[in-house]
Amino acid sequence: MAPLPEDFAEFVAARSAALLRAAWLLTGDAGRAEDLLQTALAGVWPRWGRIVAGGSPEAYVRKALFSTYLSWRRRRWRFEVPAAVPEPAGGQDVGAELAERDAVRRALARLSRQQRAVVVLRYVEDLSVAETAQVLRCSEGTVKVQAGRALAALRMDPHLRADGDAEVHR
Amino acid sequence: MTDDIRGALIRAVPPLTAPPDRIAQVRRRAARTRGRRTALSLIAAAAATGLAIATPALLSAAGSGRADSRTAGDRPANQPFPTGAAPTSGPAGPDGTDGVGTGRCPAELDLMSQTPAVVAGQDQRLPALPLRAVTLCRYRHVAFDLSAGTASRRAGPVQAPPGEFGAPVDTYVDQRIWRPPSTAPGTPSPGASPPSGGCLMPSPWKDVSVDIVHTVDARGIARQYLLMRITCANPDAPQPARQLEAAVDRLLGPP
Repeated sequence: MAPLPEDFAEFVAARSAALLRAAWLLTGDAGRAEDLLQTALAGVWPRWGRIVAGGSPEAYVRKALFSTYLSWRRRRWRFEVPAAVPEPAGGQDVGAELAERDAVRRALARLSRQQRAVVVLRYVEDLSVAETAQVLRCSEGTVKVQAGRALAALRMDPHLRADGDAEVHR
Repeated sequence: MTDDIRGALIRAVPPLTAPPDRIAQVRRRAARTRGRRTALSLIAAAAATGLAIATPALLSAAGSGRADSRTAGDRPANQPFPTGAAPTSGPAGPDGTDGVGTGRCPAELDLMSQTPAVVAGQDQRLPALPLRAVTLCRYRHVAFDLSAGTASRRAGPVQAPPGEFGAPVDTYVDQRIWRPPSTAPGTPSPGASPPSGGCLMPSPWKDVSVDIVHTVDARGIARQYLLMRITCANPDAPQPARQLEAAVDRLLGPP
């Protein structure tokens, strides 16, 4: 097995947190998020030298992450059901925080896989419509349509509506 | 509005703990993936070998060993593959694989390592018409030696009308690949006067434009043709690719 390039390890150390956050928003589960991230990283590692030479390793890894997510959803996660047990967390109002987190997770789970990917790329990763289209290998028009539908679905989602304090209602 | 959504989404992410050694886990996962791929390759190679052995025997038994009049025997084994053009055969790669496919032109491409057939020029059949799909990609390669480095996509993928490419591809393959060496274009027979104008290969000091015409024929077999532009001072000089290049340029513009 070839040794890992040093800069690859540095990249993983520096960017894993952000990528793992995106993976969690896509999968809604910490274990699956870690699985998704590791699969994407394992896929790009053998080509790391060429990816770095291409000049934008983070964009490439992000693309690999989302492509892996979309293909996984088709293969294995067709019947995904969001977990009902929230993770423990600290803070002053733990109950409200957990409720909002759970509401957002359930709302995301109701979106289609592509809508969820568009939401994460556009509103969490802060990519432009063109960049999002490039990552998802679709047209800019598709991104706009999917983003519009996703936002409409989030606004209408009964979980968020019932909570009332989720930010997407503002 | 979008800031609100961003805030809500980010707040929804629970504290996520990284594994003690993520790199080690990635390493193990990559090793497992490589092992699976190796095993699948071995199985595929064994199946292909079995088919290669069984097919001629079956065809011979059925008395149909010469279904295609232009088979491997028409081209001497030692005939070099035409420079700058290489068809590939085999099914289009699945999504996620490197290389050109139907509706797919990777941003970066190693022109000479897509499939073994590109390098060896082992394709031995004309495409079965009508073509089902044609995809055009245009790349810029920094060196005349296409095996050095990678090429960058300049245009494509463009889905071309298959009907407009059937005849040009057929003509190109027929003239470039199947012509016996003694009458091959650009190889004058003894005693014949050479063409009055020379043909120029691309300059080795400039970027090279390479067009890839990826086709899926009527049998579902995918092939691709690499076109390096060759400028001929004599307009009458044999240029088998001229018709195919013109068809490409109608959609992609001149290189």
